Amino acid sequence: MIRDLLTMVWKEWRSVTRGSSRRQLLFSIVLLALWAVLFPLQMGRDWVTDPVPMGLLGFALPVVVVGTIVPDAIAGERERHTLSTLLASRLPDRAILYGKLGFGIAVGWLTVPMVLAIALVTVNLAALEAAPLVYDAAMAGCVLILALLTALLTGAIGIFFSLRAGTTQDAQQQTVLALMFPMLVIGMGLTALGASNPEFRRVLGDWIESVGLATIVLGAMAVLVLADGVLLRAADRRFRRGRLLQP
Amino acid sequence: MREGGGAIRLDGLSRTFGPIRAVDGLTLDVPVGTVFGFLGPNGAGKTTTINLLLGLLEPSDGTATVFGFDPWTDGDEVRRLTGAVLEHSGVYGQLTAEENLEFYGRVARIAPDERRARIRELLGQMGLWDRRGERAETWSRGMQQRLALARALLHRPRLVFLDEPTAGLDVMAAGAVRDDLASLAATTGTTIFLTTHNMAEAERLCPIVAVIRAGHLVTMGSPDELRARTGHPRVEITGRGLDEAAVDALRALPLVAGVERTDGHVVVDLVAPADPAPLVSLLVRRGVEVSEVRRGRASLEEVFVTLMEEDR
Repeated sequence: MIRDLLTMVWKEWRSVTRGSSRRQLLFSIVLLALWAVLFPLQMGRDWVTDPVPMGLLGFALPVVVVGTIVPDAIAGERERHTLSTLLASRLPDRAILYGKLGFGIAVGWLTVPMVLAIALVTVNLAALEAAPLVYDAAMAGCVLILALLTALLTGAIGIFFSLRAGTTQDAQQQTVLALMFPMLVIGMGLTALGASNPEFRRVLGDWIESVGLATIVLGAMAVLVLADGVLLRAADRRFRRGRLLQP
Repeated sequence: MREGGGAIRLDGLSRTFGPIRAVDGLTLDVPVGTVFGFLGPNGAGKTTTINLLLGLLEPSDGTATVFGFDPWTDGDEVRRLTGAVLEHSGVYGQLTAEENLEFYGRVARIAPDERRARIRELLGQMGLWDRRGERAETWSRGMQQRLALARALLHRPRLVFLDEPTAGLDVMAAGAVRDDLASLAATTGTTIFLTTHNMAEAERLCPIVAVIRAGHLVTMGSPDELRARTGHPRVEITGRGLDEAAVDALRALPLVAGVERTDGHVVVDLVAPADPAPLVSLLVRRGVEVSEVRRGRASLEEVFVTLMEEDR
């Protein structure tokens, strides 16, 4: 199983590195420019101390990267008419599923520490302070765990949309929207409420203080772990040869 | 391989998609080591049958075995013993030819040294070795199809499914693929399950053909047997003075089933195999200058059309 899984990962890696089209290249440059240069430059030293932008990075980046790679690996194979040949090979269903999923999740997750590192260099170069600015270890650790859990969630959701979507682009858009849209609504709702209602801001602040930020983060991660487990198990059950070629 | 039986055995195999019966009670045997032609019009159920035989679809009814294994329950075994070039070549365009084969060689768990040697051997046989480092998407369809054939043969399968392997190729590319298949069948003894629209291709490559329509088997046998069942023996006569009156005289003969005339040439369908001498002497008596007489036979394409019309 592990050998088959690694074979699948090898193929995905080769496809991505060989198939680096202009669109993919542009996409990578824009992501890097935004998260590793522009945002850190705008925020300055707050970038290394404020948990909000780092939390956003740990969530948004895996969503976008995994939400692009995983649907392309499944819906894309179907669109390029290579899926049926792959399914006609001796590779077990699980090796195909977890090879594709694992590759997407690994790339999506590894992008986060890479961007964090480049962003740190950007901030330090811009700030030019005597002592180098560094991330708080606990905060950076939380961001990396959040990124991993989000990558798993995005991968599992990406599988479902890939099985149903007509095109790769549909699957990618649906996957990213399914995760980004609720977060966007919640974020905008809280911002709007906070701006228009000082009482709400105070109550929220008191609640965070009484519960503790660490507890809230742990709670959110527990919810993510649960969601990951349920969705990955469902994806495992759904991803079967006999179902993939239904007209 | 399990004991007994041929390469493929179907017994009442059926598959429905909603109200549509794509495969309808198909029963047939494919002997080991043969090139089996599976013919039928578009939508006849050929591709669905291959998908059922590869364990990619579950049968609605009936049974199928490939070398004694049930494709649905022992799919891994079946896929280990078989190779396939399906409706599309399935070649990864972003990868080079060598990487395409490297991937499927790893999938088949061929040892690295053997894998390298086999890739070299197959790409060499297909005339693709010098271009092994090019991305497959830059290749012509014919080259991609030959690469797909190399991929299907990489792990030396006992059975290869080929779903219209020359469809959409130009004459030269299709000819090259046909040559590859003929050579494969002659040299390796691999069983080939070939679906095609091209009757000349089936006639050249397949000692046994089955014709299906709307999911059910219409007939099965060698091309000659099919001809004998459906076609008339035929005589082609060329000469000067083959006018309508001469044709009418031919039609009046009891051994003649039908006559078609083109300029200076008639094709006479006989009710049974017979000596063409009476036809020739009749024409000579009517003043026709006969220059050539040839016993003909219906092409497999004509047999196929007749079968389709009879089955309507």
